[in-house]
Amino acid sequence: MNKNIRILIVDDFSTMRRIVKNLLSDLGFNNTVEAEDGHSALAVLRQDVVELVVTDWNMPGMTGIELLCAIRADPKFRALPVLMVTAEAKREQIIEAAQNGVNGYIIKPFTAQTLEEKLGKIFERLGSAA
Amino acid sequence: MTTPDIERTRLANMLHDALEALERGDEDGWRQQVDALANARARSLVNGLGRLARELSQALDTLPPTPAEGNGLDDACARLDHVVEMTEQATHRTLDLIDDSRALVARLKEGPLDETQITTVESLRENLREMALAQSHQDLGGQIIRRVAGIVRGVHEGFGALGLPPKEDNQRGNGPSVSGLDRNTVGQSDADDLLSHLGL
Repeated sequence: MNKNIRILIVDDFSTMRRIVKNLLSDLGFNNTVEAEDGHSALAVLRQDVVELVVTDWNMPGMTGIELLCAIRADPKFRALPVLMVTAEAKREQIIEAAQNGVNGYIIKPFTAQTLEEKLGKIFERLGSAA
Repeated sequence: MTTPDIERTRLANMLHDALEALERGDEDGWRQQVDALANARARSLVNGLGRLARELSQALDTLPPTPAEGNGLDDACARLDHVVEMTEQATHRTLDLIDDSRALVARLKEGPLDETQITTVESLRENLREMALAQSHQDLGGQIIRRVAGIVRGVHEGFGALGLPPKEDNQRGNGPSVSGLDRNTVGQSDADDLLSHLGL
């Protein structure tokens, strides 16, 4: 697994961005970039080479689900893996995210193990797709 | 005689007078009596309205007073926003200290260590990671506080006033689920089941 991939962390809470960044670095992923909502995330995606997006759902401005739809609607990003890390936990929401092509869904509060597991699954699938 | 009795006798007299005037063909006389009767009825209506107004006024007096200056709801929202800011600062401070400690642990790891020390250093590293994760409370609590502030602002602005609880907005998001309050939410393992069911 290439641990040097560039990961975009999207969350309106700076504390949560920091926590996710810390956990990723613990897992050996040190190449991260941050955004505080869907709009600024899209701006980063357009000028940077990002290989994985970890996003919250509930954010002022553009939400995570809107970001996911925007990513899937753009041919350039169609294959970009998106991991949702959110407190949103309604069945309808999880189904909506899945239908819009999310690659993993983590409910806050989460454990380091859950994050590692979901990342592993995403990379595994990417590896088999390649 | 009680007041209703007096009133009843008075009405009966007026009716008798009106009837007598009618029977003896005294047009003006019976009209006068009927007008008097109508006035008597209207007076009791006016009295009733007056009593209602007094009762309403008394009831309003028992309500908490409306603050003369500024307004309580804006103030409450500002205080909630302040709590989110304070916890944000405190959480960053804690995360700073955790970062420093991680650097210290990394330095410890460089030195020649025996078996026990290696285990201890590893435990420290794990504890620091869990401490950082535990700081998620700031995000989760902050989202709930923002939602409550949103409800208060909504009521204040008169949108759906008294229409609590607020309509769910799955598109925008509802924030963390609160046990006993939110329905139809799932945990990570249910979410995993659901996702694998959907082919993920």
